Amino acid sequence: MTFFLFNLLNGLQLSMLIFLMAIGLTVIFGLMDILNLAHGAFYMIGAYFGYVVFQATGSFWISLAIAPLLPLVLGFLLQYFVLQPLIDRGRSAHLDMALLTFGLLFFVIGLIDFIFFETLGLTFMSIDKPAGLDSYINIGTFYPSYRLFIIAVGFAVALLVWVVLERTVIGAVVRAGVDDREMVRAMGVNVYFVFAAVFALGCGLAGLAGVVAGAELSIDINMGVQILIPTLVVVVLGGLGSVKGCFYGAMIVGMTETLSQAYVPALALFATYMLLAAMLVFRPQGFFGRAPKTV
Amino acid sequence: MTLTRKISSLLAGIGMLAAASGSAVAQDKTVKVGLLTDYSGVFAQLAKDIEDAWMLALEQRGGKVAGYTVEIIKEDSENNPQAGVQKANKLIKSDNVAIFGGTISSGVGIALAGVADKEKTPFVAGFAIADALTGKFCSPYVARTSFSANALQAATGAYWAKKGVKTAVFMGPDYAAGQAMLAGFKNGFEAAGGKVVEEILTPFTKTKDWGPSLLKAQQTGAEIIYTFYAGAEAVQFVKQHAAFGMKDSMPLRGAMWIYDESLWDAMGGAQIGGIHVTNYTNALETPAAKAFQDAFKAKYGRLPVASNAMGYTNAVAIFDGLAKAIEDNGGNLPEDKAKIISALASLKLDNDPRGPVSFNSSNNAIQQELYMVQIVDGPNGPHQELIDTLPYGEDLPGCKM
Repeated sequence: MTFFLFNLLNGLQLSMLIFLMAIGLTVIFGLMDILNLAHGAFYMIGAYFGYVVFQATGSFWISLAIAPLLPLVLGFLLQYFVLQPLIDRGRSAHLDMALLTFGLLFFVIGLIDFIFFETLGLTFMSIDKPAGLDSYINIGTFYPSYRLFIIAVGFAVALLVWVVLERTVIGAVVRAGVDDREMVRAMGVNVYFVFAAVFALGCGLAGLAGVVAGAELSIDINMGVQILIPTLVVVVLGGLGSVKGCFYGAMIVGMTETLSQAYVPALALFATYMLLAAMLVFRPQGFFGRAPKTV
Repeated sequence: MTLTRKISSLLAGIGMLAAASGSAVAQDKTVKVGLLTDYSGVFAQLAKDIEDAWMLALEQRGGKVAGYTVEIIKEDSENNPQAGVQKANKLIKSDNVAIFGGTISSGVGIALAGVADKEKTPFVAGFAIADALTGKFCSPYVARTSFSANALQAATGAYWAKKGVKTAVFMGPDYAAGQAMLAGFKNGFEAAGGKVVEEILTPFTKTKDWGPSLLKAQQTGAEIIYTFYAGAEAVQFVKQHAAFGMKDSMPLRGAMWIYDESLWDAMGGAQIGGIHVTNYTNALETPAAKAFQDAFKAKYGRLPVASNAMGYTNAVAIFDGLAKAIEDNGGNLPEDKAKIISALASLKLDNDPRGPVSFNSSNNAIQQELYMVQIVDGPNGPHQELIDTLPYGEDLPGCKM
């Protein structure tokens, strides 16, 4: 029984880490119709910048507070000065944006490799867990306290995003911007600024996930591509643009990965992909996605 | 013309003269040696380590072997057998190398053994550990200076069983190397009376969380976890093992990859106390090991790591093997290049930093002692301490030359 309970905790922990990534991706896709494959790059930027801040200050908490700001600012600049102008010029096909951001992902990976490996000689890095979270608690078996922290962060972010999007004026503007951009603009709202701000927040959350993961996993050159795959699966499962769907999708992927590894290791490698395939066959719009708009 | 201009043109003139005299020297006999290793991909750091060691060994020989000036030609095998074969063919056919080596990836190593055998050009694996390289794919044109998975792991398995460990869980990545390490460990451990109670193989490079597997290992109540992970997976595994409070209840044992020194910073202290087998450690106090450490430090300003020592043995075997083959042939490079490998395999490298090194004449594979080390914290940071030496294991049978 405890074995099962602890695996549920492990599943929850992984789910929350993936959720932090997927929430930005899904909101950006839902609102702006941009499949931002560079999301993995913002995750990496968060982790690497988090490492730099941690090295400079020695504090996990300062790193957690400051590091997501860099991907946030870069995300804003990317959307406002690069992606939006391209969309305005008619380059808004999904494939165009996916290719552009995919290229950007590899550019960032190359740049990070050049700075950290080629120049500084660093291959694997890590951020030390803060005092109080660097140990384990005894609840039947030893369980790492940092994992409980990851779960808490995931729930807090989920709640915050939901409240902002569903219960505030900002959220109302964002949702209105999706449904009828021209009308919102006519009412005096700078839609482009709103879009860029949402894009930036999504990237900031990816950066936050990078710092959080940097302490539990390791910071290395493959981290961005690795996390991107389950993240995309979550977005498909949950339905594009749905916050609720993203949350449940992340839970399903995290639990599937964890429980398959614990109980049926032979399936661990492709359990998630089986889920993805089944979803695409039976309910391609995802659990909570809207049916495709008819023109 | 200003004074600086005059001086610089003067310097240019001197430079040209120096170049001219340099080319006069180059008219001496030259032997080309290929350094074909995985400069790009996950082994990039190891490739640099090997190159650094090669350059040190060459410098110590004044850039020459038996009167021949050595010209090193570097190529990138990209951790990809296809790229490796392409570059090996380029080295053999257009550069005319006498011998090539350095290779890290086992997949590339096996592919290159095929090329070496077909083109009758010697190849000396520097890091590749696949058993088949000196087993099924052995050749009079192929030698190995690293070790085979079975020899290292069977020796270690036997060591732990003889130390009184009765039960172990094996954990590692689910791909060729992980499976080879598991088989080797099991061979040695179970032959000496131990029992592997659970084998947990996790998806290679796809696993993000070791929690479920660690909990499963805990359930078995085994005495130790024996493990083979490398790189990012090693960092995450060691950290999570410590985070689950298992360092005392079910300690980790493994080989050098799991506790590689380049990973220590990223492990943030979780590596302290770790015990593992290795084929080189800076804790060795032999004159040869000290000389190597001093020379390496003098050239690069830092102490060597195990992969530097692996690269060094690789380079020394190649250079000294070449020198012996040339001397045996009256001062000329032998036409039959298999003689280079047989000269190499007859070397007794008593002054190798890894301890006395020799080669098995039946498959040209290295023989050396192994070292059990522990990572301990000290005033100058964590370092390795030598706790035991153990004999090398057997290569898997299967070589017919």
